[in-house]
Amino acid sequence: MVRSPVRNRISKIGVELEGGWDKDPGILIAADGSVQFPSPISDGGLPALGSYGQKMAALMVGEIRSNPMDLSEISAFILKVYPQLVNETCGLHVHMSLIRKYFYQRLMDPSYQDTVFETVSAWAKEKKFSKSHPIWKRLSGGHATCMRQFLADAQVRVARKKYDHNVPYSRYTAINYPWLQHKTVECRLLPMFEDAPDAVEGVLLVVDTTNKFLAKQRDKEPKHLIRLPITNDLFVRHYDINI
Amino acid sequence: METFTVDGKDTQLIMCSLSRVRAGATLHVLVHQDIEDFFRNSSKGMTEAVEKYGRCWGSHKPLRVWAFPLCEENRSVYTIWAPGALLLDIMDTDLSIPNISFLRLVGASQEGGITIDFDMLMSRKCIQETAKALSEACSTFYNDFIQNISIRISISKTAQ
Repeated sequence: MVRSPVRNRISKIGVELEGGWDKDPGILIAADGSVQFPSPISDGGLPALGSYGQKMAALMVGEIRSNPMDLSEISAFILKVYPQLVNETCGLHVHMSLIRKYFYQRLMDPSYQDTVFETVSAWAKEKKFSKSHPIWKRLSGGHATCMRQFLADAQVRVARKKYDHNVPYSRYTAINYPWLQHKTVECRLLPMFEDAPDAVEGVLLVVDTTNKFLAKQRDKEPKHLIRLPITNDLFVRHYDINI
Repeated sequence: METFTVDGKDTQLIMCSLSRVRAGATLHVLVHQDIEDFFRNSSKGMTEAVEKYGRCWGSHKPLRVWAFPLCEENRSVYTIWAPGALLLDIMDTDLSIPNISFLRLVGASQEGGITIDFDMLMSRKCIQETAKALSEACSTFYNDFIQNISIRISISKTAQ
């Protein structure tokens, strides 16, 4: 467990779990075009032979979105509905709403994203994930769906889900700020893990990192002055017209 | 021109402060009597509800602005025709100019000024840049509408 005694400033947590289910998880699996598994159809257009082909043909692919939950509920939810099959195309997205808008604004800082990268990276090393584990590509900062970019001020103004990449308001950043859509900060850095307990640990790490980051923000919020002093300057303009 | 003192320091025509607060962002507006008189005279005393234009400005009491006719002065540099709108909309290129319509607020020159609450979230860098842009826009507005101007026109005739 990675939880610490830091004061919790997160109101609710939600997760999106991407993958494939061969058993009904008892909750809606929404379509998600980014999740891809090898086709169960062989080159000849026939179902692939063997148990793999049968398993893939029966697979329900997409993502499960949780309701907003209390921190105490999230682990049990993940363990209950975790997909049986995941690969490098699957992401684990953590949505966090804050108890005050002010805390949300304090997370709108590039150093918050840097902090999440640092702590997740340290944790991944500690867990000794293999070199081929999808977490490393995401931690490289160049993954197409979780870029290490800071676009918060544009992202908070996006009212509808948009799928554009390489735009100033792209949601495909490691930390996304979908304020108008969900009133949450979204961490898109985690991949789906083969083992559900690792996913629980990863989610709790992100939550804990967020609370610790907020706890360190003790500097007083500055007031930005907009002033125009009185001057007795006279704007003088001369026009000389020669006719 | 009468003067008024803010914080016992400077003598200002416009004195605003923008900051991030618990509920989002807040702008405190205080202007010199001459600024409000300018808008009062331009409007011939007619005022309009801010809600008529936009709903991004909040306050504990209904906000009104002095009516102000559209004109072409520096419309690409700032706007004073967007009460109720965001101060600087970085998402929309048509609105990515500073919005200083708050200068038109009825009562902005009264003691204590007026506080506007914005349901908008900004990073620290964004709020700094917004304040800087608003400051520059106020200066341009002053040059366009308020500053005393002396124009001397000399017409001479060249001997033929």
